[in-house]
This record gives sequence, C-alpha cells and structure tokens, in this order.
Amino acid sequence: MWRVLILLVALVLAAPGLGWAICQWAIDPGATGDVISAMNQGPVGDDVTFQIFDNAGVQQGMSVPSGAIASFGRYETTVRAIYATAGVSSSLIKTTYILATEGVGREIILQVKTGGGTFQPEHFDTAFAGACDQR
Amino acid sequence: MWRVLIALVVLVVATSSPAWATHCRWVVDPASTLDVISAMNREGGADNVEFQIFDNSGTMLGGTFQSPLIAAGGRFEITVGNVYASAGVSTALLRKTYILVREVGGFETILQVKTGRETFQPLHFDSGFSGTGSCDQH
Repeated sequence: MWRVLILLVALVLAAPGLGWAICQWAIDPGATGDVISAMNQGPVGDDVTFQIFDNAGVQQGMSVPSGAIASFGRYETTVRAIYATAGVSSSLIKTTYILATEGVGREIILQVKTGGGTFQPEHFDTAFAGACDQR
Repeated sequence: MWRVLIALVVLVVATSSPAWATHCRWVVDPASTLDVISAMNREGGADNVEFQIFDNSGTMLGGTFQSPLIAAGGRFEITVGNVYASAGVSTALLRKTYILVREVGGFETILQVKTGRETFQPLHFDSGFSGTGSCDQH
C-alpha cells in the first residue's frame, strides 16, 4: 500500500503543471531591429536566457543570459544583439528562431516590438501543460 | 488511507491529460500570400503539421498539404502563397477562406505568423476547445 502511495505521489509531482516547470517562449524573428523586452512581475529577481535554434533543431552559437532582472524590473534587447552575442550571423535570421527560457520564476512577461506592432508570445512550460499560465 | 489513494489517482488522471487530447490545431485567417507561417517543434521527438483550406461555408477546398517532418527543436517555414499552391487552391480565394493547421502526431509545436508588419501567435487548441493538456500553451 505505501509503495503504491509513494509511487502516486511521485507521479503527481512529475505530472505536468504541478511540479518544477520551466517556462519558455519561442520567437520567430522578423527583423534584426525587432525589440524584445522582458518585464519581471515576480516578487524576486529573475532572468531570461536566449538560445538560437536552426530548422533542424540544432542550437547555433552560445546561450545569451539577460543578467538579473529586478522584481518589477525590465530588460530590453534587440534580435540583432542576441544574434551578435550568441555569435550567430544575423543572415541566418530567416532559418532560425529564438528560444527564451525563464530562470527561477514564472512571472516574466515577454513582448516583441516588430516596428509594425507588438506581440506577446505565449508563455509555455516545457510540457505544454499550462504551468506557466499568464492569465 | 483509501481516500488519499483515490484522491491521488484522480489527481494523476486529471493532470495527465495530454494522452487524451486529439490533435492540436490552430486557425490562420490569412491577409496576404506573402504572410509567413512558421512552426517550431519543442517536443522531444520529430513531428509535422498539415494544412487544410476551408471556405466560408465550411467546405474544405483542395487537398491536404503536409509539411515534412520537423526535427525535435526544429522549425518549418512556409508562405501562405505556398500553402495555397500546395493545396491546389487559387490565391484569388484568399479573402474567402482560412487555413486550418493541425499537428499530425505530437503536441508541442508553436505556430507564429509574420505578416510583414507584425507577428502573431495563433492560439493552440484541441478539437474540443477544452484546453486539453499539451494543446494548451498558456
């Protein structure tokens, strides 16, 4: 009986949405001038790491950390700066995308200003289970 | 003890809904043949998406166009013009039709549409609109 109980507790903790979700966003960049901003609504400092993936799913260049974003603070960068810091040519912008991963918290809002408008990518957890819901 | 056990079983079942979700999908109401649709697969395995075009009366036009396999972590990009061409539908019907995009095997793909001026991310829904498991990105 106890073994079953322990197994079920482990399953509950491992189940999507309840445990240790990592929150992420994907951004398919339209231009190097696009501006990405992260606004931390959590009670403590947090950060975002940017990675660039190609169409085959292979990470290109290095990961780009934002540095700490204070509680209620904001961090802003451009697509161009992310590619440059990662060491990836911006000529690859049309065949790659950016994955942004939240550090320790779940309460960062990411928005992208494209020049023509602003959009807010959906905040998803790695299992797509709704654990990073902004709503 | 049994009550705790039953409660845990219910919790496990309720939170493991991805298995029940039918194929996840998105709709895209295209504005221009030049709009770019990109699919980014964040799942652990390869997946693909298929495109179908429906008219205002709900009739599917042309054939189903299926993307090649998208590697885990990979990306597939296509223009609206190419979706219509691949489905065998005239782009003259752009203003009276929309695109239904469906994940073929998996769940964890993100779709974004670049319109030339801006980008938007259609919501990922399951066929029951019930926010089921991995179709619900929020």
